Amino acid sequence: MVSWFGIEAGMGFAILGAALAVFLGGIGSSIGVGIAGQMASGVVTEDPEKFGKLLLLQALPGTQGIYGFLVGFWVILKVGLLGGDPASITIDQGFQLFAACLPIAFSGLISGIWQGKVSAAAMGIVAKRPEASGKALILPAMVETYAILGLLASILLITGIRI
Amino acid sequence: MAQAKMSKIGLVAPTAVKERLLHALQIWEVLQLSNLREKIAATDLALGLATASSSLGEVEARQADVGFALAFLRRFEVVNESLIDSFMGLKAVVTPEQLVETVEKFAAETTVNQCKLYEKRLGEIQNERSRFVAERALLANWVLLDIAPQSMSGASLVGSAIGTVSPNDLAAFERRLDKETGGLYHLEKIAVDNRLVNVVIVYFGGEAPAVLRESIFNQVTLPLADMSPRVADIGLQSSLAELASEERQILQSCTKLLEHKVQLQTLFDHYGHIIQREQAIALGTDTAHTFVVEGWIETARLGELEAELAKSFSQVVMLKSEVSAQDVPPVKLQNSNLVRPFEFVTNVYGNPMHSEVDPTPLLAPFFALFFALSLGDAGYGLILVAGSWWLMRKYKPELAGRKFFHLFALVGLLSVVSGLAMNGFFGNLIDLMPFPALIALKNNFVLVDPMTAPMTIMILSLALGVVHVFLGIAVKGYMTFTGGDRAGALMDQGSWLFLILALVLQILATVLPTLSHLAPALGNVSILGAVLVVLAQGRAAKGIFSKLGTGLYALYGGVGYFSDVLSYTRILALGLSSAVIAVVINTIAGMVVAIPVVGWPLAAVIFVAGHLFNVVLSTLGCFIHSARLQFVEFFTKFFEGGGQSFKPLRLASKFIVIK
Repeated sequence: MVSWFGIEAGMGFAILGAALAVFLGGIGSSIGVGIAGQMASGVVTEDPEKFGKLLLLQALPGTQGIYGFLVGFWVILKVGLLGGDPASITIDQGFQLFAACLPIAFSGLISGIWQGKVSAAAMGIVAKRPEASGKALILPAMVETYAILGLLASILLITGIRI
Repeated sequence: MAQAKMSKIGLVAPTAVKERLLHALQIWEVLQLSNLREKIAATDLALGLATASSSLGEVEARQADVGFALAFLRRFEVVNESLIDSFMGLKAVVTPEQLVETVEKFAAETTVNQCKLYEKRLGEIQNERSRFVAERALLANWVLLDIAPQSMSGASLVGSAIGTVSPNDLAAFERRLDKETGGLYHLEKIAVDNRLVNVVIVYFGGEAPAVLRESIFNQVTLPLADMSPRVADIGLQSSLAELASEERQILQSCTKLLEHKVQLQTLFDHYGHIIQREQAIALGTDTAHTFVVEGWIETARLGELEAELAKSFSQVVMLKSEVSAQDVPPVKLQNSNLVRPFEFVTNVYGNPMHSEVDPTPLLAPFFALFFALSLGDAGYGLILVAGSWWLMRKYKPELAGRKFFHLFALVGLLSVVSGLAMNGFFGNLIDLMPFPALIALKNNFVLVDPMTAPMTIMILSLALGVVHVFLGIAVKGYMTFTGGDRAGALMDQGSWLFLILALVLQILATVLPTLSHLAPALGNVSILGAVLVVLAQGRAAKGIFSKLGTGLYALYGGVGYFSDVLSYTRILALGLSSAVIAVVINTIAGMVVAIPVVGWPLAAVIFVAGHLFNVVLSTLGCFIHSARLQFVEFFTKFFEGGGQSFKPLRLASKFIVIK
């Protein structure tokens, strides 16, 4: 096991990866949900009955934060931090886990923000053409594709890494 | 299957039964009226356009009044509508008898006038209150002045002034005053704070000292100058109290008026029905003694309409019109009971055109499968089934809503199956329970666990993607083929289907050891397929190089199909995400159990709230992405859409359901 200045480098990298996945995904979703929420509030001021539909639209950019959390949690589970009996992680394994977290971390960050923007714009559909609300749900989902691919890559990579 | 056949008919009725006929049509909901005006404008027939009855404007005004009263009274409603209620748009159920009774007996004018009166008075109260509050604020620092400001003026030998001076300037101000009046003045400080000093000055002589007109002194005019500020303030306080009590009374009266809410709503919708009817009449045309309308009806319901007309309208004549090439019939989807719920998915995208096939039966099995695989949890499936059933019972939605709940009940049921096969019941809940027999029973059903064998699900997703895309291209080919362009279908779509099939077989042969000896031969078949694609797709271009170029470019377009297929991996990702979050919730709940005393209740809260959160979010995601795979990957191969929905004349209501 490699230790830098008394720190176990392998475990450190793994935790850094998990942290990145959680907080970058979380930032993306916070911004996205925030943008959508501002728009939703505006529409609700005019028409409180649309609250339910708008809430769904606002929730859409929230998934990136969940995906990031999910990957972070998987890493924590994998290195045994949860059971109080951490595995010994070599620096190689630690760096691999770190790298495996990056796809969801970055795709979550960027797609969360943009999905929020599309959600906010789609709220215009709900406001002006309520009968087309179904379509409004699909457009933001197009952005989410890339977060899903990032999640998939991260999960497949983490499952593949041997501890 | 697919689309209901439409017929075009005309109805000729004596003018006397015009209103009654249209009302009956509203109740039957069979006929979508088309606009005869445009048609008549194009001919030189001596037909008059049907005029809406003169009372239309009056009805609209009355509806607006009732609408105002409803909006006004809504402010006083104690909101006990849950989020689900607001989402479902809970409507009051009214029987036809109640409707008639309300229309005949309910004195809406009284209620509306009361609402108008109360609204006006509430506005006035608001204004008065802010005026009184502002006056009190002005008087606030003067309450120690115990004479009326007015009584100080008018004396001939002394003058007076009321105003404020900055505390820093006070000494200088007094010096100037002393100098200018020769000491014949009196200055009384009424209130002092660190910003202003409120003073009353009395001076000898008729003329005011110059300093009082300078900026050092800020003269103040007090409101209610005919009484002392203290008395005025007490008066204002009691006026405010009176306003508050009057307002309370009005609020009470308004809350009491709310008992007429359903009657007002009924009336609003009744006026709405009349307006719809009059607008429908305006689509038709009048002759000297008759009234004519034209519209679309489902061919299957022609007999029903004929029978109803014969029963109640013996003088009305029904004429079947020829459907011409310019006519665009409206679209009504018609599918078996099992497929009908999936029309909801199709309608999210839009209707097919009347000349297109209805894609619903094609997408139904795939949508259900994608959803079930993405959710992959038997417990969540049960929640969906139970939730749909409960909401259906509670809200008794109209047709579109029923489709929605049937859809979720169906895919929920399938998710139960997929959950059992994919080892998901509220995540890993069963594995955490101390019942080895139950775990063994559960394990009997497990075919593949996405958590331990994600690659199996990934391959399954990709395989489903290939089948789905292949089917899409095949449907396009079938449509082109039956549409008459047989050669085009064989070349455009046939070549691609051949190539895809060859590639799939080649991959199978490469992967499966028992078939590996076939791989080289199948490789050659694939190359043949590619050549066919180049040849077929390039045929329209002129010149050999141009043909080759176009063909190769089309082959390169196959990358699009490849990326389409990759898109289906989202099924795995969504399945994993809902499963992992479920496991996370169980893990956290399990860790909390160890806390003494509060452990179990806290764990229960985390378990219930967590899984509820996950089921809502996962269902949303699974629905959206299963739908997206239909719209983006599947529909683009063969489907255009853009048909107009069949919207028969009916009693469309905003607030009530007539039952």
